[in-house]
Amino acid sequence: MTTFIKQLPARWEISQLFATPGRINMLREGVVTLVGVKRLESEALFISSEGGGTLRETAKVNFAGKERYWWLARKVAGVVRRVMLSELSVQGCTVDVPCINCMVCGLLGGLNTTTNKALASRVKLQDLISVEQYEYDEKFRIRQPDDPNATYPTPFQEVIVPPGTRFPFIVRIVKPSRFDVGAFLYSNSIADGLGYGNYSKLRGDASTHWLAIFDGFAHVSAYDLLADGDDIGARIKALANDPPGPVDKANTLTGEALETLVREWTSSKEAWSGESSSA
Amino acid sequence: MKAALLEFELESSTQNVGPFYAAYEGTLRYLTREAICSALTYTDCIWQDRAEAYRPLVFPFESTPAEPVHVRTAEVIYNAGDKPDQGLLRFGKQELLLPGSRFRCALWGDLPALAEGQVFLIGKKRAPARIVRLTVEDVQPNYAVKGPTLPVQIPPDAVTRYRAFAPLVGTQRYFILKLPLTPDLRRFAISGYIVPWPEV
Repeated sequence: MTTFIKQLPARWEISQLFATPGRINMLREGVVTLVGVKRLESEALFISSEGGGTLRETAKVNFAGKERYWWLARKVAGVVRRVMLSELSVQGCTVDVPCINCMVCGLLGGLNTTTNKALASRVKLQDLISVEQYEYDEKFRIRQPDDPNATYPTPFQEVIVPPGTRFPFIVRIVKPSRFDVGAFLYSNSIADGLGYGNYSKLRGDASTHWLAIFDGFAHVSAYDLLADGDDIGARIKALANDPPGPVDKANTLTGEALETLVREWTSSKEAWSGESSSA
Repeated sequence: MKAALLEFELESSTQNVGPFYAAYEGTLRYLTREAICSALTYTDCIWQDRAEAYRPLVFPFESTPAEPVHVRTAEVIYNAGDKPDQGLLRFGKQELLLPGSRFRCALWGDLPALAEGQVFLIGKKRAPARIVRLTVEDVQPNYAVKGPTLPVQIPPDAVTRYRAFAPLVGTQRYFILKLPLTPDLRRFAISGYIVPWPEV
């Protein structure tokens, strides 16, 4: 099935991005709005404060009438960037020194303080704020000593985000290409498996259920999704039927067509990179 | 003349970076007129042309800076990258404007399309915000109306033109001031607020 996503330009080269006027109108250059629900499949810890003593508490924020778990957008962006650098086998570009010359920098932006070159990210993520109410549930944990001869373990406490916690996940890609949407969907699905937050080797893994992709800047509000109760999946589906904002409604992707696209694009890089595998 | 008074709420954390030293990046509580006008016209920079960095941005409408109505901030710890000695703010503390923070501003001139519930991107990292209150009116500039006053944003070298003011924010690029409603100050009223519109 041909969707508007598949009809986007194949890819922007860095030279093309630098050739555009520095100041662009997002609505003229195009925006793709992706809306879904991220669900934690295991516990997670998103630390944003130093805490007191041996207590480590996940971040929280008052929003839409409740205290909720707060997952800063950069904690998703960082993992997605590392996945993209690895999966696209980019040479000479790291999270410490972005080269501003590769396809990852072309999409996620960066600042190179040596060359003084900078690109803004065209992927606009926003903080993830939970559907579920924050609950202070202190867990007692033990850290075993590194020294096998030491006898005393170190106790500490954690307040974590429990598995099953859901977050509306709203992403906008500005001046989108097929590569941009594909690389983001693909990297996000791998990042979900690797996990987010503290000690992601053992926890913090998630799943993303995409519910709608809009051709345009959809005025989807996390507040509106969270303020009216727990069934955000149903509300996103309702929004997809009549999306607010400058959106080409006929192109909205939902249901089977969306699931097919996501399945295809998250299972094979060749589906969106426009290149055949050399492996 | 058409004018609008709007209040908007952040849906994600953001900053208008102010103090930035010793591994601490603070935020100002006000958002600039450039941030408001860029956000509401959905314009943004993909890359920074440093030659243009200090050229004033021109829009078909004018705006006051956004003043905090109900703003909450939090100090968060920050740790990015693998090497602590490369790049900017690898570790330290950031002060963020929190989701749910509400701001108020006034616009006038050739207004863009505006609607309650409209979402736009504003501030550092372009946090989404949504319009929660909107009034659009025909207004008449005059020199007499009184009431609660919105702030104005002026270039630093223009500050000395005013005989009296209360400074709210001072940076190298702009000052945000409250001006007293003197008889020679042009202004207009919208939805119970007075918007100073200095002639210079």
